[in-house]
Amino acid sequence: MVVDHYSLDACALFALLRGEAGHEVIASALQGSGCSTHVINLFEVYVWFLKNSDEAQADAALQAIDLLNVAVETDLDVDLIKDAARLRSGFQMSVPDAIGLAYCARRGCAFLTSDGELAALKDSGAIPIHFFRPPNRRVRRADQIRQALQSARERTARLEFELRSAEGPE
Amino acid sequence: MQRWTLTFHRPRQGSKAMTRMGQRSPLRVSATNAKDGSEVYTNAHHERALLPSGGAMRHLSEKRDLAARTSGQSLSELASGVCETTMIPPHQAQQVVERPIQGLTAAVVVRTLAGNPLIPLDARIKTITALFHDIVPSSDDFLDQKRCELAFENE
Repeated sequence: MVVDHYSLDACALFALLRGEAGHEVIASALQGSGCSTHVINLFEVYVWFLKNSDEAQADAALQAIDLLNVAVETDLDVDLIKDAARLRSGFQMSVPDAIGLAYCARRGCAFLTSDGELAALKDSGAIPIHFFRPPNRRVRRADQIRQALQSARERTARLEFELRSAEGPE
Repeated sequence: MQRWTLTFHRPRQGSKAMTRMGQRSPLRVSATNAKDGSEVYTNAHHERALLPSGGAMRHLSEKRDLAARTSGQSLSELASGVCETTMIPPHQAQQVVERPIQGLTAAVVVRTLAGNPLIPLDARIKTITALFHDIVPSSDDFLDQKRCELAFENE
């Protein structure tokens, strides 16, 4: 499938702002066919700055993104939400990613990301997803988190069993 | 609007220029007019205007006026010059970009860049990445944080 436009995930926006590995791919897309981002992905960037920095820096980041000719798409309607919900119910992803991907499906553009969690969706071919760099490290980290969660669940179940035993009739 | 390119020259070690400036600024600056190619070398006084060595936001307008008087450049043109200098090797570009924003914020510099439509996209990218490199998280760290939040949400 030939893609003439890219929509940037929040992590792609961070990679671009930071100039980290793979940002050349994004820069090349910016100088070529052009890039946009859905406003919900911009929301993720703004939230990060508000949590970790201050409002002035958050505004500067948004202005910098604008200066880099990244167009902001504000489409958000019931049909888009339905498409996003279908994606999220079928694949592991965050709400902003689901909306960003649903927007890509509507617009016929590719989602530019490094999120390895989206590899399954990429393989399904439902929506064109391009990785601006190999997402291997990210996937390993996700596996670590899953394992930690599984251990926590098992420990919780064990403690609940012990609690029920302790509270039960003597 | 005239367009000037600022070039930063490193003086020879122990040169008179370096001594005169008390080694505060090892760089000399020349401005080249993009239209007719005329070149003007700045003196230390210009350099203080071009590369504010810190200070508070309240001095910004003073510095802007001084820079405009001494070099005939507006603040946005000065920022353009900073962008041009990012064409030089990254480790030098980083130093150069950092100099004019000592005491200023990334927000001010970004607003300044916004005022100059002549700055090409690749120079904007280089300048913005130099500004934000130490501020934003790596995309991997961001994704890890996001995935943790999602995992807890699913719990």
